[in-house]
Amino acid sequence: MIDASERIVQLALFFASTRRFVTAEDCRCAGLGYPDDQDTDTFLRMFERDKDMLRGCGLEIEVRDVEGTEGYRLDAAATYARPLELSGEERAALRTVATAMAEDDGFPFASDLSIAAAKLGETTGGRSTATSALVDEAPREQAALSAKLAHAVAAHKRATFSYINSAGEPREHIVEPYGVFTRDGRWYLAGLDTARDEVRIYAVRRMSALAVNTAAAKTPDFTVPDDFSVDDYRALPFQYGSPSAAFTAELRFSPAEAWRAGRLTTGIGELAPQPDGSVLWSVSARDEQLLASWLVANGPGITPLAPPSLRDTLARGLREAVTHHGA
Amino acid sequence: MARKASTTQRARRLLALIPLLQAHREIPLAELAAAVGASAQEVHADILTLSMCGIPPFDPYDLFDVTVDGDMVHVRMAPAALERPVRLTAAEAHALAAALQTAGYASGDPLLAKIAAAANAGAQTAAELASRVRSDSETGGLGGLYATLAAAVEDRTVITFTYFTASRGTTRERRVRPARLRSERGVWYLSALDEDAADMRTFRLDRVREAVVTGEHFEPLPAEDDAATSAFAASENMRVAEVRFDADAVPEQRDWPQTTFDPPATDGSVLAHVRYATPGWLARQVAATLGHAEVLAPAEARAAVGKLASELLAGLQE
Repeated sequence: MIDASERIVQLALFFASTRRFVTAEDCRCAGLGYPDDQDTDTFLRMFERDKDMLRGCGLEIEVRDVEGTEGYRLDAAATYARPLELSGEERAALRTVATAMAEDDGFPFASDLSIAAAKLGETTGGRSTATSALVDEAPREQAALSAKLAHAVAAHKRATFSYINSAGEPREHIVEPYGVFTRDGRWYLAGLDTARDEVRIYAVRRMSALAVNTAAAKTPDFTVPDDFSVDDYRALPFQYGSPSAAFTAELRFSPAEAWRAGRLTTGIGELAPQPDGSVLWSVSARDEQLLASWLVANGPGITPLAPPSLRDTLARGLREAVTHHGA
Repeated sequence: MARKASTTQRARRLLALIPLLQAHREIPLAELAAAVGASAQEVHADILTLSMCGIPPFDPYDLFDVTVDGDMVHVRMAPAALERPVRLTAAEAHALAAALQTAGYASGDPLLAKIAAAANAGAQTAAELASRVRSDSETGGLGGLYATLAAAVEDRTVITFTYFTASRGTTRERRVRPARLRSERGVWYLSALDEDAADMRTFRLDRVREAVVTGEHFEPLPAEDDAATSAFAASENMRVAEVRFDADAVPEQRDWPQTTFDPPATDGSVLAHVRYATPGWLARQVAATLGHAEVLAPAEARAAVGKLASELLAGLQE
């Protein structure tokens, strides 16, 4: 029997080259590589799988009745790419980032990315202009698990895995995966812990034995709540902690540092530019100490306005640092 | 399961190769391999497979007549079908969007919208997935800057920008010859020859303000540019400071590059040997622990922490 991908390419070429609608039987007899000694049911199953695979490659197959049986041909208008209107800089960005991420072991979508870049014709022709290491710990493992989780997120299929908790003990979790995100070199899953009936964040590096429910692959196992947004879980360090500790902080970026506000706040919280050139930032937080620490690490030019206790926490910490260092 | 995935993957690659072969009479094997993100060996095998393919009834004109001769692929004949690239699948559009997110393209960016719209019948799926599977960079709103720098690296164009030096807390104009972009843990850096310093420097993209393309081109930089090294790689003139962290404030090792940590003392505190280039960087890191770390030596680093903390405290009390 010939290689499956060879048969699939032949089938694609056949669909693409014919103007009339061809039937399964036409395909079987055309010498595309379907075994001669195959019974009809086995052939039809193989033919269906092949068509699914072509659709998975991006081909649109038109179906029409041909004398009581299904006929197929390529829907050229829907199949072929239309030119993308991109600026020179946008093309450079696409080429550069695609080259870097396709080679990054920690990027879960590398193979899809390579094919996408090839289809757009945006490849660097072998010249490497960028590299990336998105994940610093066990990148291949985290990427493989994250790719699987992203599939489960897309298909709304339940995932089961063993998870090492903060006490170092492994426990099995059955989770409805809602979203996957990366933060500071690590991949995370946000999903409903079915045992506790609450949304939790799982660090992918602590997972093992991940299994996604394969039963009834095309039927969703669950629905994602309308108000779920993965953005709510992509938080800054001081936004993690007990919900009961939540408060709203007000900070000010001085006029000289205002341009850095958008970069540092990554779309989290509300930025309000002021007439004097400064920017006020209103952001929810759960850990005052970590917020005060963030403010120093990313300074200068960031001052706490509210709550008053944030200023006190910062002043106390700085006084301690001064005492330690004998100034 | 894995076998099926690899068949799909290979079929997609074969289909992506077809328009490339149709467009060339000869093309280097390495170029084809780079174009589809596969090894030369894999693409060589793909060419052999395609050379067995054609359109029924398989007239000589309807077969691929393709051979690999050393590093070069020769295309004598290719059937007239599938000669244009196939539209992106939802998964491919999503992969592109995810890659652009790592470069600081925010979810509302027009480029991401164009990519989602280019997906075949799955634009909605691609857009939905992009909102639920996120690989955003650690800093926001960099898309435009990234594009400018990527083009400058490719075109070898001199650029100027204002740069924020975190260790000094100051900004200054730079004129650089960009060599390459590099990302670590979602933070992008530009390696470039700083013309004033006449040396290679690493710049964090989120600290670059308003890059201006001069239009002036430069010759390729020597090959010894730091292709493989980390943005945090040690340089020869680094110093070492002894820093003691309180038991409840011992950092993760990965957050303190070029640092070795001793085993914890009986009270749980940990002594770290921190390599640093400028006292300013170390001072800010230690001050940010808000009294939970102390520089024991050298004196210049101790003084830098004390001075910074005093200044910040004074600023707070104004």
